[in-house]
Amino acid sequence: MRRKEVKQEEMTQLVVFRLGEEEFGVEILEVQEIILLSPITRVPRAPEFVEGVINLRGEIIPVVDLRKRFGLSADELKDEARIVVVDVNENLVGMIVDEVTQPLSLPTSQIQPPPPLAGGVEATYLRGIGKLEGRLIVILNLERALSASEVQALEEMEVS
Amino acid sequence: MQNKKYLDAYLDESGELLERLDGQLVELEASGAGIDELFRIFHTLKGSSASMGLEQVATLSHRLEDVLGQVRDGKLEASPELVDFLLSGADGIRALIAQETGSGPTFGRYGELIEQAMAFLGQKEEGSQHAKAASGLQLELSAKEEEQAQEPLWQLSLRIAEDCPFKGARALLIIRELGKLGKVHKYAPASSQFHNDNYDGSLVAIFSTALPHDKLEAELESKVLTDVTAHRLEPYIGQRQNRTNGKRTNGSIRVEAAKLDRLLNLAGELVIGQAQLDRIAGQLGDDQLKGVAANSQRLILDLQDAVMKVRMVPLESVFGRFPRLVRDLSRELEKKVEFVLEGTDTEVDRTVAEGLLDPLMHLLRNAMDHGIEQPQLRLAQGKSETGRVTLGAAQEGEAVTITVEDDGKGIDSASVRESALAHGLVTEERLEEMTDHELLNLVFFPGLSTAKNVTDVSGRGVGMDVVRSTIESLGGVVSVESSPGEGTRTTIRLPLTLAIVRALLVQVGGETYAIPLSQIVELVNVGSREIQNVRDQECFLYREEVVGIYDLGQVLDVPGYRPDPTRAKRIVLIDCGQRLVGCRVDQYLGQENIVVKAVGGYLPQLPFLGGATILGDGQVVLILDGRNLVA
Repeated sequence: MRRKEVKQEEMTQLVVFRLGEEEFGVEILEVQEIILLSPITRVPRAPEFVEGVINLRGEIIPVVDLRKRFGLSADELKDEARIVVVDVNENLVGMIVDEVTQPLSLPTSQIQPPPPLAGGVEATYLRGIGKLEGRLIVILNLERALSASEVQALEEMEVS
Repeated sequence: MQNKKYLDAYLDESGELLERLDGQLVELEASGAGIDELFRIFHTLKGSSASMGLEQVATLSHRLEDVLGQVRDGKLEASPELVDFLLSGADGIRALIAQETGSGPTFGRYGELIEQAMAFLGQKEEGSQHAKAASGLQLELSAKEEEQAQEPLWQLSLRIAEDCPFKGARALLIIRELGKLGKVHKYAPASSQFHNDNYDGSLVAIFSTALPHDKLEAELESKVLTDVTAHRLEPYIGQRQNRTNGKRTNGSIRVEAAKLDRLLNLAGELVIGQAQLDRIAGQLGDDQLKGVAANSQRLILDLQDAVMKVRMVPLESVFGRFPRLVRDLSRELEKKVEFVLEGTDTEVDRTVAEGLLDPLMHLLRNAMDHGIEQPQLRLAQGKSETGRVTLGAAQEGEAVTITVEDDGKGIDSASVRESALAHGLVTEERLEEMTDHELLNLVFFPGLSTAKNVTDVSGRGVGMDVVRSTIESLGGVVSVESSPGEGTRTTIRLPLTLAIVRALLVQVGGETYAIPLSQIVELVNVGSREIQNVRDQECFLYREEVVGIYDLGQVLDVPGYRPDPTRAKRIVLIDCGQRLVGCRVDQYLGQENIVVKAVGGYLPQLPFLGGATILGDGQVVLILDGRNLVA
């Protein structure tokens, strides 16, 4: 009897959340925690998608609205909305999302490079697209997606 | 080199001693005072270097101590040349320590310095006798014996004249006379020696007395030192202790800065926690609980205060090296300068103290180089030949003010204008509008050096703007005033501490902000009648200065903000260094001790924010940096 060799497939684990109608994902290792919406203190003259700062157990962290970041339609936040706290280059940032769905594991081989525009977001901010059971998960490149400096540069260009 | 594990402590201690040495030597040259202290320093250096196995350092210190001994006994004068030598001796010690501990290159002048010392020592005949006064006799008190001495300890070494018939008897009499002046703790040789025929007449005694030095000398001369050819009196310095006229040094210990930082953080968190406790107690309405909360608040504020004070160091630690700097510069530039230090016991946070070193050095160099004129020039102008540079510090409320002042030629505002125009910093029109004060403070902009000759000491035009940015990074402000022909004064204002500050909470259009008290000059209510419109800018007069009024609601883009035109304006007056700024707020919410927290590296640096804090109710409040609120 032949033993079937079971190959260990490399898996990618994602935290999945919803922005508007689209589903997005970030690698689980980048997520520190997921919390309920808490009072946000506005920060004047910050980039528009920066909602402000919150108190995370004594630490003050900035919170961004990804929908504004990517120019997606931003409906009123419902009860399901959450803040996903991620670690970007050793800085903590909170991202406001409409809803957090079940985390998933999918084979890395199932992740394809992103088309120029996916889920309303340009490819430069993405790591890839994951396909699982008919769902399309747009996987974010957090470093680029949250890069405030880029946005500022763009804003400065517009003004001049 | 032995004892590697004590190396850090030794390096710390010797570093401090060498710094004090510089200051004392300059003092010696200026006023002739402080020999005792200098002795102590050399003596301690000698002892600790010897125990670390640093032979050359110990020997050099010993020789320098001997030279100093000549000065104190009036055999040598503390001339500028002698002081120069002692200063280079101190430098030599520094270099030797660096060489021996591997942090510096080989020091080549050891032999030279020893020779120079011997040259000074050989100058007077009696000098060599001094060295013989108590040669071979060593005396030490045990730590316990030292403890027991109530009064300052002295060591007297002498040599009874050769031709004195009963040297032994004389020695005993001397001991007895000494006993009348104070208490004799120990003497050598033992009294049994005195009966010996070949007793050579040398005697060393350690005694304590309440008599001050000059009276002691007088008594010794008249009552004790009959038939004595050479004698030497010096304060007795124990191995481990450093006694200063009976006062012990302040029993300090060294602490790693990181440990202090942790303490401070914890204190800060406690403050926040207690505020929450307070609030909840208030909500629950339980009197007992409220009482406990109130009590804890008192204790925690005291604790916080104490911890902040731990981080404070007297400015003396920074100012200490400046007398030497000024002295060296005055020699180099061939100018006569009197250097005055004021308020050296004013304390600031240690990070602030460290950060002040470079800016102050630069300001002092400027004062010496560009401020004080050559002696002939000063005389020609009817000024005293010797210029004066003053470095002063004082605490004013929540801030510390440091001033560098000189009575030199002042800043030439015409040069500043030219330079500013040439560098394209300002337009002609803007220049016209500027007040003298604003004009002068242009010197803080990069590239603006008005020195005609770029001297070696300063004048490259990179200085003042670095001074300003350094002071600002410490949370402070700097400004300059000057009178042509009379002098210049630079004023630095710094907050007392960085981590926990007292701030005023204000409300602007429904949002709450905190402004550090150290930046606030005053809170004023300005009625509509007092407001004038100057070129589209609302202003009012505050003590003869025209101050612009800025609506914080507009400055901070508060959504939906609409100022109420009818009510008197509540203005927070902020000191931005070069000018005052009036910020209008809706309400004052009270003063609080707040812990300054960073807002995290993600947000781009917003210059008008000085961090954020968390109030007792968990609310995040942004801290405004008044210096950068308005352009």
